[in-house]
Amino acid sequence: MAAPGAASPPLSAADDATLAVALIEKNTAAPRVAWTRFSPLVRRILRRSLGPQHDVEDIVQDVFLCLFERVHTLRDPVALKAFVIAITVRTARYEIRRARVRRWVGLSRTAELPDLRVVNADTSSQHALIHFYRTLNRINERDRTAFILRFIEGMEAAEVAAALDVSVPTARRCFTRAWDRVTFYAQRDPFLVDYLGKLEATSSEEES
Amino acid sequence: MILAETEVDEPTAELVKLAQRELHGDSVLSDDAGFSRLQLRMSRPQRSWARGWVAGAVAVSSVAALAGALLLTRAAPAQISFEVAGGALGANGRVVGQEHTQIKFSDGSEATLERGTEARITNITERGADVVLTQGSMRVHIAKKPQAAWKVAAGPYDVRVTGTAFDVSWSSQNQAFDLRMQTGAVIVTGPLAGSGIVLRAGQHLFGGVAEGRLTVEGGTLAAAPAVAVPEPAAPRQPGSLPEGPAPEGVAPAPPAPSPAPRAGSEPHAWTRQVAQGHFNAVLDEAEQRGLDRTLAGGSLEELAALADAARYAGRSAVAKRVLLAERQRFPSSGQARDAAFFLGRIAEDGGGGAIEWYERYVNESPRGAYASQAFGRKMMLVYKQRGGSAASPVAAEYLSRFPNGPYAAAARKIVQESLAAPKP
Repeated sequence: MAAPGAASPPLSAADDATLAVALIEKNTAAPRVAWTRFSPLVRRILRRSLGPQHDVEDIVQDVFLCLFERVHTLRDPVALKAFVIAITVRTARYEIRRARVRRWVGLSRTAELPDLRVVNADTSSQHALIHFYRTLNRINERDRTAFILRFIEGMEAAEVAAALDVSVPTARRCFTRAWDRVTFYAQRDPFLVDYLGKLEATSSEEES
Repeated sequence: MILAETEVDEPTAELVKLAQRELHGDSVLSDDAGFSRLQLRMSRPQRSWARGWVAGAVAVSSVAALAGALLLTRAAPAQISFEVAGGALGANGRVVGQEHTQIKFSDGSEATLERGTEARITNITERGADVVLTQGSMRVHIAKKPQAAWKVAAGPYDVRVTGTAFDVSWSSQNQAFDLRMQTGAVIVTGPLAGSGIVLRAGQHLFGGVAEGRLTVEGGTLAAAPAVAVPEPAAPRQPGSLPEGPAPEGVAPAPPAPSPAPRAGSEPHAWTRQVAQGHFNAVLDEAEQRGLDRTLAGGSLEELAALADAARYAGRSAVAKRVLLAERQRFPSSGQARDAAFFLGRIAEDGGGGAIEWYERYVNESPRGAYASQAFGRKMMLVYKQRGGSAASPVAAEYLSRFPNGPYAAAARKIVQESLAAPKP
C-alpha cells in the first residue's frame, strides 16, 4: 500500500492491497482497474480448467460480479489476487459439475463439444486438446482442478491447496493422483496415442 | 512445467504443454467491450451468488435463472444504438475502416474494421442490426442475448448470428467470401448454400462466386458442419480452375486411369456425403474398398471428396496420402493444385515443409482461391521460424498483392516492426 503522506499513484498503478481497499470502499474507478488487471488471469484459468469446448466470456464476468459482491469479506487486502483465484476456481468447479450434470441428463448432444472453441481449425493438435480434456472429464473435479492449477497453471502446492481450500498434503495427493489417471487414460485413447507417437517420431527425426 | 511430485511421463507432459500453448487469457473482445458488458450486468439486479459458496447450488441458481428470465421478459426492449471509434460515420450508416476503427453497439457487440474496409449499418432493432460488408475484412463479435437477431451481409452471402465471434471478408473484385469462426455458431446462406450452412467455432468457410466453389474447413468428428442444402454443395468442383503445367517436384504421372468399379456407389456419392457432413461414411467406404486400391484407381472427384472427408474428420495421415495421390495422378487438374495448399495446412501440424507447399501453391495458382491464405500463412511461418527481418519482404509483397486480405493487418505489423528494428 502507498506510504502515508506520499502522493497517491493512479489506481491503475496501485498495488493489489490499494486496489482491494478501493473495491471495498466502492471507489467507482476500482472495478475497471480490477477488470484490466485480473481478467486475463481469470480467463486463462477458466479456459484451462474447462477446456477448449467452453466459451468462457460470460463466466469471466460471473467471477467479477462475485468478486465485487464479496470483496468486503477479504480479511487481508494484500491477498486480493489469491482471493480472485479462489473465486475463479470455485466458479470453474461449479461449471465442471454443471457440465457433468448436463451430460448425464443429456442436455448436451455430445459429451464434449457443445460449443467448440479452438484457435486454429482442423489441426491434429486441436483434436488432441479435445481428447486430452475428454480424459480430464473422467477424473473427479477436485483432482482435475488440482492438476490444472499445479501442472498447467504452474502454481506451487501451497497455492493449489489455498485455492482448493484443502491442506497441502491433500492437494499434493489430488494432483499426483490426477497425473496418474491422465496418463492411464491417455495411453488408452487411440487418437492421443497416435498424436503422441507422431510427436515422438518428429522429435526423434530432428535429433538424428 | 512442474513435475517434481510425479514420475516424469513425457506423453502427459506433452499434453500439458499443448494446453499451456493453446489455452491462454486473450479475449476475442477488446478490454473496453468486455468491461462494458460487465458494467451492463452490474447495473442489473444482482442474482444470488450463493451457488458457488454453499451446497445445493444447482437449486439456488435455477431459481435465480428463472427470476432472471422473468425479469428479462418483462423488461421493455430498447433499440440498439452504436458509435464509431477511430473513424467517421458517413451518410446512410457508412463506415470506412482506418487504423483502429471499431463500430461499438450498445449491447456490447462490436465490429473491428481493417483499414480500407467499407461497411454499412442498416435496419437497427432492439434485438440486433444488419451489417453490410461492402468490401474488405472485419472481425465481428456479437454479444450473447436472448433472441438476438443480427445479420452480416457480404456480397451474395448472408451470415445470421445470435451470439458469436468471427472474421469475415468480402472481395467484390474477386467475388470471394471468407468466414473464419472464433466462437459460437452462425448460419450462412448464399451461392451453393441456398438453405443455409451451420458453421461452428473453429470452422472456416470459403466461397468463390466466380468459380462456383464453396469450401468448409475445420470442425471435428462431433461438430461436423450441418449442411442443409437442396443440392450437394460440392466443396471443390472438378475443372473449376484452368488447366496448367505439372507442378514442380512431382513425378510425371501416367494418364489418369478410368475409375475403378464401385459396388453400390453413385459417381457423385462421396461428394454428396461430404457436403452432408458424413465424413466417416466416406472414409469407411474407402477403407472397405481398400485405401491403396482407391488411391490407385479412384476418380479425381472421388479422391477430392475423400481428401475433404479425411481432413474434416481430422485424419491427417489419410488426407496427406490422398492429396499426394491427387497430385501424382491428376497433375494438371485444379484439384491437384489446390492439394498443395491443403498439404501445406497438414504440414503445419507436423512433419515440416509447409512453407514449400504454400510457395508451390502460389506459384501454380497465383490467382487461386487460396492464394491470399497460402501467401499469408507462409508469411506467418517465415515470421515464426526465421524472424521479422526475413518475413518483412514477404509481408510487403503480401500487402501489394492482397491489400485487404485476411493477413493484411499482420503483414502491416511485420513491416512496421521491421522498420522500427535497429539496423546493424
